[in-house]
Amino acid sequence: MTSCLPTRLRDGELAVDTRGITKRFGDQVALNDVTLQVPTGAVYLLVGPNGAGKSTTLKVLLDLVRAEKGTAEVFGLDTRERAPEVRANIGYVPERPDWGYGWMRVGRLLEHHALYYPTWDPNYAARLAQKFELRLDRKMGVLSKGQARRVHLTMALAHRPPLLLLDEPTDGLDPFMRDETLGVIADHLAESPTTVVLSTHHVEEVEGLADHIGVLRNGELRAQMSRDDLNANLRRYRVEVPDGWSGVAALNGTVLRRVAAPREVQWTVWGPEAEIVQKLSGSGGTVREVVPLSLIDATLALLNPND
Amino acid sequence: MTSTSLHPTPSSRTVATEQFRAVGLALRTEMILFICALILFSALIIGNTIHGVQTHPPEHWRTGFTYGAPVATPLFLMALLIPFGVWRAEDPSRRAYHWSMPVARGPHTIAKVFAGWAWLMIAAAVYLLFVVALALILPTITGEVSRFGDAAVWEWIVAFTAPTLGYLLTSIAVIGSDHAWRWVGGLYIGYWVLIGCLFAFGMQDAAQAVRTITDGAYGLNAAMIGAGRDAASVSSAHMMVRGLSMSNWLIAMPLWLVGSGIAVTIASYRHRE
Repeated sequence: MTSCLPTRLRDGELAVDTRGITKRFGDQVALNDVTLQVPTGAVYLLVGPNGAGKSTTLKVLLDLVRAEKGTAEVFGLDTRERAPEVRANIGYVPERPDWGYGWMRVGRLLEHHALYYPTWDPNYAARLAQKFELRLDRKMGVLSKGQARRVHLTMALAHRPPLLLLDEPTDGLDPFMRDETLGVIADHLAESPTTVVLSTHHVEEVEGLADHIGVLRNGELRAQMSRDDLNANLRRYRVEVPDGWSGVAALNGTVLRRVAAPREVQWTVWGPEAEIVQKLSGSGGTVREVVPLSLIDATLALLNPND
Repeated sequence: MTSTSLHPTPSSRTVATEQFRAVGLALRTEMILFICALILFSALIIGNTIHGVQTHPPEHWRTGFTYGAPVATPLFLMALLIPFGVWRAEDPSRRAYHWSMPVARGPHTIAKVFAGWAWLMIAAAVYLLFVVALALILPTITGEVSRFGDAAVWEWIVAFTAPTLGYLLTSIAVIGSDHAWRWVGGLYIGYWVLIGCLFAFGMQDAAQAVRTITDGAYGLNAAMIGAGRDAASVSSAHMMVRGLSMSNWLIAMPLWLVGSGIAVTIASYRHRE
């Protein structure tokens, strides 16, 4: 089936704009013709299974990894040609916990980081350090994954960058600190005008934050859309079918999932609701329920490998 | 263009100053050990001299301690190790933090190399101070005439160029490879194994030719402290080690420094992922 999932956003100012970026590591294709469009001010959730290319995409934006084909721009600046300026405007939380200097104490690392970012807000950094319960006298190398993650979040947020790239920002955090962290990010977004690209496996945590979603699988951007588009077009249809039902010829949309049970079939379909209901009813089935999907269910449906 | 108000990058001066401070912090343990070793070494020499003067007639006790270019050799050896401290836990596969800062990668790496070199020069100056102090103090104990003023000017400069060369040579491997120890050790061992094999197979001329890398008129030893062999006798089986040669040093030192400097720059600007 040919997918008709949207892969381009409508016009508008973009904070991140990649065009057909392709990256290989040896024989492995990490990114294949990825055109990521993140509107200014958006909280863009980048989802995909492990190895889908999420971290590589973020690294291309920082010029840590260079694409073989395609271009990438952040706030209109080419990430390769004007990498230092791009990085000055990004707060990055990496996936790996060994970020920074393991031999340095937390307090000294924050001081070091601050000197590289002229917009560093020391009061805000102190507030974040207190909120995240950072122990400034400890060496980075002895911190747990969760403790290191909190230091990285402080480093990323305290210079109030226009763009945040958060790669699994709550990974390794306990439930309490995870909640605290999401609260800090929400407060930050309320205080500072920021665009966020967020990669996480804990999609349910960012249900209230994300307003755009991009789905990566096997290095390909399968879909990207606003939450409004997602909510308007993705539905689960529960249909009661008669015995000997021959099925529906074609639905006016992209079927992402089909679950059959005796006398009942569930479809998860991307497309115009009215037309799909009409097709299902016309095939002899009785549409019992049409429900929008939660972000986590929508993500799972969009990642459906059977599509 | 964007309507977002963009943040500036840090000034070069701020980056250079912070790199100097941060590298100083990274090398703190090594520096403390170095100072302790100098103090211990000086105390041993002075103590030994005092003991010698007390137990032997003065005419039988002469330290002969003076300054000359070979005194810089320990500095060269120490400088070979310094890049490992400068780039502690930052081999290329773990250097993403350094590269993610809002500074162009090449100049940022060069700034760090430069910061390490600045600390090395401070260490060289401290080393020279100790050597000069010893050369002044010891004759007052033994009654000898101090001869440290006999050293030529270029031999004093060697105290700074020799460690610079050692530092740059190892920096090439540390900046460019995840396995710097293997490169440094492998090259050293491989070099001597190659010469040994050439000798073993009766290829003396070839062995001598290879040895010019270290012992030739413009080889590493000449670049380091002006020690080398006559260029004319390099391929001879009867080479004679000459004394220190300023003229050889004046040619070899810049050649080696420029060569290793270019290699460091290439390694710094190479885009690693």
